Amino acid sequence: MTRTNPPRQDRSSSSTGTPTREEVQRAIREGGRALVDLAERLGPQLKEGRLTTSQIRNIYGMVKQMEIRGFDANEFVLLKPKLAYAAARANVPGADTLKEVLTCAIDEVGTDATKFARFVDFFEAILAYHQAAGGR
Amino acid sequence: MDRHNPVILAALLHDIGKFGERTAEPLPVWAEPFHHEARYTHEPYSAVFVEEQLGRWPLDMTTVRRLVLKHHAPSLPDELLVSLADRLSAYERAEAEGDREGARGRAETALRTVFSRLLGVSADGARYHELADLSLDRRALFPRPDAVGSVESYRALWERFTSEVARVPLGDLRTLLAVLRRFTWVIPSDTRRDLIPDISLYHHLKTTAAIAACLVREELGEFDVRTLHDGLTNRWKKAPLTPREEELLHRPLCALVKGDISGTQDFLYLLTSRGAARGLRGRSFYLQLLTETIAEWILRQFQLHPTNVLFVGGGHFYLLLPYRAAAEHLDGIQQRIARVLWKIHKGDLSLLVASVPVAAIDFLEEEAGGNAFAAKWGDVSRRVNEEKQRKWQDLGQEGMRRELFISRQRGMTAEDTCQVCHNAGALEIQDDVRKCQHCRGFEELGRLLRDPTHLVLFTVPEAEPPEQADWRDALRAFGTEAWLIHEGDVLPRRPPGATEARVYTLDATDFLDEDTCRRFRWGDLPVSYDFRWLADATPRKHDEHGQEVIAEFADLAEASQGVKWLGVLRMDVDGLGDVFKNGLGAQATISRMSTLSESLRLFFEAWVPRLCREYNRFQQGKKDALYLIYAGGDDLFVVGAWSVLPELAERIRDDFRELVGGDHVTLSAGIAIEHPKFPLYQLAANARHALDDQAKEFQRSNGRAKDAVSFLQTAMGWEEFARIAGWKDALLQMLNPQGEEPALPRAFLMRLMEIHALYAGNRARWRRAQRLREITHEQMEELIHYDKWQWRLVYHLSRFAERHEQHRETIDRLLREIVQQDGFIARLRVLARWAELLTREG
Repeated sequence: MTRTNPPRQDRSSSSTGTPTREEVQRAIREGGRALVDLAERLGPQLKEGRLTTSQIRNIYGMVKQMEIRGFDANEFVLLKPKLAYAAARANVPGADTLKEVLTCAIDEVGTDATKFARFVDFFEAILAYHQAAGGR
Repeated sequence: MDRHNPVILAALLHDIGKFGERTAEPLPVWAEPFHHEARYTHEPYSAVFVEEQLGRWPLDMTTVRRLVLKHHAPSLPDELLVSLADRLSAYERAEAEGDREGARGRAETALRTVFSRLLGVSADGARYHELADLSLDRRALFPRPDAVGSVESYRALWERFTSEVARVPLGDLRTLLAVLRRFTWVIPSDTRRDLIPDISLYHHLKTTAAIAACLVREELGEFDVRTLHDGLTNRWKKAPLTPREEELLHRPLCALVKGDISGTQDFLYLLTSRGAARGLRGRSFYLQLLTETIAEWILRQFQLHPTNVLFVGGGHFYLLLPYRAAAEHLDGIQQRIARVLWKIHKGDLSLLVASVPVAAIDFLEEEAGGNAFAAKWGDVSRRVNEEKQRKWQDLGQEGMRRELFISRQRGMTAEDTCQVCHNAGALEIQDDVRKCQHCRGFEELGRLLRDPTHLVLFTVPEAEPPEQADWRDALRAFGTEAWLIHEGDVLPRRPPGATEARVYTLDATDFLDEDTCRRFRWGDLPVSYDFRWLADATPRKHDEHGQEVIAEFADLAEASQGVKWLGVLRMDVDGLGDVFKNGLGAQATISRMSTLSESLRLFFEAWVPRLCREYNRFQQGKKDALYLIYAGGDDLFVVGAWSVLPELAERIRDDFRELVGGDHVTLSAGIAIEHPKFPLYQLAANARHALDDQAKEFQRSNGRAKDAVSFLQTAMGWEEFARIAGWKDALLQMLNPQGEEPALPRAFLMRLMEIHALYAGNRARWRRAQRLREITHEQMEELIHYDKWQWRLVYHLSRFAERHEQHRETIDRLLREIVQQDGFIARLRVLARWAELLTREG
């Protein structure tokens, strides 16, 4: 396996707005710093967007079950409508942000099991930084 | 020529006038004419000292006076010998250049520590010794950047010095040498403005006397002495040398002899736990005494004074012997040593001896056209290591065949062997344990080492050791009988055939007081007085009868904070060979080598035990925590309550750093800890592994290596260790808060360990990938750092902070310190484990 080296950038200089499609794609493609930095940025944003831990956990629980069962691309893609439904129900800005980011991430995973593993990590990291930001 | 040759005493005192001169007292009127005979101002002062202080000595003192007076303007052969020895010890540039002001005494110049010369320390970083007599006072022992001398301090020191000299038994060079060591150890030998004053007068005087003794025994003809003297001058001036001068400069004059005890590791640690603790200190002290006794015995074979011991400690010695005599007799000496040690220790211990020839050219600094002495120091060590490949060859063909190649039945069943060391011998049951004469003897020696005030060594006729010999027989075989004396003890009787006694005051430098001189006398037996460090920190306890005894390892473990485990700490100086060989570089004269080795010895033998004793609080009704098995040369070995060892190691390192004044000479440590039932030899081996394979192999990201400690199987630089130790304290504060504050649960530590395991697993994965060249080094670094452990740590620590609001600030700070780019995630296990062991019950 040969990996490309992510361009070095100082964490403090990274953007503070809603993540772009490219940023999410890179996090899933490369993992590592791109993933950690993005999750760290997202955590407080989601908290500010009034998304609660239990709302995140509902979706996260489904992802973990998929991971335990083994990656199935057909099943995984169905997460997108579930995200849309959950976001509509929650009706807070944070839920929309999460839906957009994860939908983009799901597209990037496609049928690649390695990327799926990184998706699970990304989601777990989002949960952690949301918690650290004081999310309840 | 005998050992009382005036040349040797004159060499020892030739520059003592530098000390007297810096008091700024004028010469007595009767000595004014001395100026006409001398070249510089200090020689008349030396002559006055000889006349006034040693006038009654039963030697040809008129000659001694003439020799010290003329050592810079020699004309007669004996004057040339003193002058030669002086130049070979520390070449004085002035006389070759015809500098009339040369070697002038300036009282304000303080001795710059020899460590400040090593490996290019800048002048700004240099440190200086306060002018004081040798003592265990911190101010005296540790150099400072701002120390200066003064006429007043020289006067005060001179007054005390001369009053002590007046007590020296007439004609006794050994006692005089000890007085010189005490009072001139930090007097700079040379104070000219353009020279670095880093040679101690004591070491210059001592090594000059050592070289002089060799020159005297070499019996050089008058013409050769003159030619060699001229050759040295011409070499310095870079003038052409005559063939004879060249030949003499390269002719061996001395032999540098090294002796090294082999087998000490097994001898000390390959013991069962049955009574091992009680005998261990005795064993360690015996090794030290044996090394010194053999060194002294060799000197006696050559009729030399203790001036010719360049260094003894750490299980080895370096001697300077006359070349021809050494070449003739050294084989026989090696054979006797091998035979006696074989008979007593049956191969468990041996002493390897090797020598290299030293010519005049080898003594000189490279600047003076010489080879610098350090190369010889390295050569002889290499030779000793080669000897290790030919161990026991000194037994001779027949001896080796008889002892090594003929099978012999020794103890077959458990009843035939000692339960402590597993050797056969004269077995006796003591305290329900079957012990051989060696183990019983070492236990007795261990008991005798409790608070002795003096060590008395009698020189006695060499006695063939009996079949079941113990430590006393071993020393007697080399002509020494040893007694440890305690407060209120009756003095030992004068042994039959004793020819002299040496009385060492232990752990104090005030060794020539009236009481000592009056008390330690045996009729007309010549007695010398000296002082030495015992390197002792022995734990005690009360046994079931209320008697004070040496505490067992289990007792030390009980003194631990948290889990009751035992630990071993080993430390030594990093790359000592390089420090000697390359550190002093082109300036490595014998005087500087002597100054350097003595400074290290002083730290390990005198200062380290003092630090250790601070942890033994039996006298204050508390438990003793440490057992200093060995400290000397450049290393140490301590067994103790595990929780004390990291702190002790850090204190020793901090003080060592202060001593050398920076990070150019460093110290590493290995700590191993285990349950007290774990065999000591295994614990000792683990600590050795921690030191040699982990701490010494440690390398920082900037490439700087060693200067590290390995604790809990993890090597780290001292700077990082201090950081971890600070966080350990902060964790303990949260786990056991003062007052009403609720404690952080110990589950916090488990969580930290889990996170470290996650980190370590990820690190192993990416390192493997990098080894297979799947990723670059830079990628590896990034993938190790930015991974699951990071958000898991953030998640768990923020949960703990949320639930324990009063500790939030500390937890947040800890989180930041771990996660940041140079954070200590890699050492998180050490931190968590350390705190966990400190807070675990039982």
